[in-house]
Amino acid sequence: MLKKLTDIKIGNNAKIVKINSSELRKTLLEMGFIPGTIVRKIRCAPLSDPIEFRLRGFNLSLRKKDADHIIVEED
Amino acid sequence: MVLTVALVGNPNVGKSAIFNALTNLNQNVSNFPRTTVERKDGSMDISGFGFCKISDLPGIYSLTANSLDEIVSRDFIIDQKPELVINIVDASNLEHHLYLTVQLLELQVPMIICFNKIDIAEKMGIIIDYDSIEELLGTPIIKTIAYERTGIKELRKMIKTTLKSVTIHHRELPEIMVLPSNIEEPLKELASCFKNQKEESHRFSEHSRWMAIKYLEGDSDIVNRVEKAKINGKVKNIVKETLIPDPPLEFAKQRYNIIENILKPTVKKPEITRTSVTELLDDVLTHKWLGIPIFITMMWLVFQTTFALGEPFMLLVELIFYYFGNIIEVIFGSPEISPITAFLHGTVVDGLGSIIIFLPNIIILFLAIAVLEDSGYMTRAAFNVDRILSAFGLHGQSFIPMALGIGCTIPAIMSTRSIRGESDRLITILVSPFISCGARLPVYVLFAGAFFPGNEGNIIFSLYMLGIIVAIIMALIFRKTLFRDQISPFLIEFPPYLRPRLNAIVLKAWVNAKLFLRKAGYLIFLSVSIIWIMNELGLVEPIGKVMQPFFSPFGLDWQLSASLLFGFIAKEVVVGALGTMYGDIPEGNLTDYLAESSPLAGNPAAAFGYMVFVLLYLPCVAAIGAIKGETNSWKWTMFSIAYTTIVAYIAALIVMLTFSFYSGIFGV
Repeated sequence: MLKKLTDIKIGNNAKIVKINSSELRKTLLEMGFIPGTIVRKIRCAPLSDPIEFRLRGFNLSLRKKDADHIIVEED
Repeated sequence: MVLTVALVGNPNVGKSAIFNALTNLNQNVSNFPRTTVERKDGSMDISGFGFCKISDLPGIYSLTANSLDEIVSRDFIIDQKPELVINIVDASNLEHHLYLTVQLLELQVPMIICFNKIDIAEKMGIIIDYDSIEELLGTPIIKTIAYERTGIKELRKMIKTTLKSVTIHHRELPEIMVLPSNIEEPLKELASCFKNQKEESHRFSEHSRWMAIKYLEGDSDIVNRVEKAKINGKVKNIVKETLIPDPPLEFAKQRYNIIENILKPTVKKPEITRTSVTELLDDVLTHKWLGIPIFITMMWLVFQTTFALGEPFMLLVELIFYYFGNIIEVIFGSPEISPITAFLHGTVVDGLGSIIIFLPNIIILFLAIAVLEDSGYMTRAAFNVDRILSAFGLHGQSFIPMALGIGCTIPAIMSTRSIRGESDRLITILVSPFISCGARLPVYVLFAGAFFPGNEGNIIFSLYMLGIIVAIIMALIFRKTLFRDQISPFLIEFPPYLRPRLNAIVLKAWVNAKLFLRKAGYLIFLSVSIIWIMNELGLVEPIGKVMQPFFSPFGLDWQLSASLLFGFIAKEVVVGALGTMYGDIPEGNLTDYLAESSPLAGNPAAAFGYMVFVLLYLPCVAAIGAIKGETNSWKWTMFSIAYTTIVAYIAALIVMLTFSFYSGIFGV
């Protein structure tokens, strides 16, 4: 089942299926958010935004509105 | 001919440390023309080549046209044609860092790759076969631990070796960079098309493959250049035949494939490379309920330590200036008879002295910033508050600079350098001066004591709150008017926590302090001298009288008006200046004089208005110097001075009127 990266459970892994069009798309692709990549949701900030993710051996945070464009399949 | 070397790498990889090590701090900070992108140039002594120019380019993740930093960096490499590019990567984070490396290899420029932070890689249990990577990439690799200068000697040797053997700007493409044939074939065709056209700039002939890749990717800057070069006909044909459905995705994917092909055979990484310490700390420091209170406590601790540690140094500075004043008197005679003594007493001892006395505190705050950055905590602090700040048009990264403003505006402004988005940085620089700094406290204490005895604490607290509110409102206004573009994305890497390293923080604080003194120093001295001259020429009273009408709603006399002028030097000078101008009133009785005999007597509303004006109006000359240093623009510096004063005046008026209205109702 396809979901937004924002919506997966904390601590879970997900495989990226596609990156929807947005201003940040090119940047996200270059940071390594590529279809087929495994991403793990680590935690949310105290006010639930931004969200910390782990992929390709490093940790990165994204705002919800940007993570919403990343469509994944939860593990 | 002077040889040029460029340093390129991701943000926070340790470029500055390597740059400092190679240049031995012989460096100069400026801006790339027509931008606020910082440019660091230095000279490095390479035996056999004399002094070479070395440029530290902005930290970037890629060579796209997505951000100004990237465009500026790639244009530098292509147009300035450095004889050597040193790419610095984080050995503990190769999969991420090699993305830039792969793009530099596409450019086919002479290169050395520096694997920095090998100590961290080792601690994580990462085993790297450097020789194999060297072979795969056809590029020399130097291992370094930049902040302790390990590997720097070897780096210098390799720079010398490479410079000696570089004859052409263009180099061979390593085998591993060849793409699958469905892309490689049209790419090669397009590249040879670019290579053979005659009229355009050298970048088409010397970087034809990179240009072709960028064109197929749809890079806006490159597409423009190709259109302008008028080779469009042939080019469009090739592109039509090439069926790449989603070029940005395809090329990003291919690059990560290349990276995998490089790393799989050469690097062994344990499953978990993130220490449990980092995870635990993050659980606490970004905790839903604890995160923000912990941050506030941290900042409070920082300020307490700063002023506690700073105090003995402040006394030392006072002593030094006192003795300096005495020595001058001994040499040149007393101030009444010797103009030299009078000048030096006025400008150096009183003027500069009142600014330098805060220097120890400023340096300690720089150290605190360096500790927060080095440990990795800065990014988590920004993470915690981004949601709130975004609502006001500010980026999470603006939080620490603004919080520092409570201590002193100067470190606040200088720490905005870590904010990556240009408009986010500028807005933060413009609103930070509204946050009440430590130097204004003596003014508040004096006036609150005179007009609100028993209520000093509440009055001063409300002033601090007002400063924060005005800063936030102005940030919102700026975001909606002058800087209508979006807040830059929150795309921040979380490094593992590090025990702050003494060398690294002392060096950072030292570089900041030097920078501040160099950029603000002359401005400070100049302004102090001018005001002293005005004073000597007896201009203060006439100037005060000219200023007085503007402050008529508050009913100020010329002394109170003129004292605001002295706030330009340093906010706390306002108190001293008042004392001097009112003549010989013994200490402590200035309070009574203000409360009973000055034009503000019996008018707490106007007094409060005066305090609000002091809170908000122009930054002190040292802060102005810092603003000029960070923005590299007289336009923004002048704008800061003007708009803060206007806002201060309006706010002071509103506050005074509101206060008298309510005190009228409640009979206060």
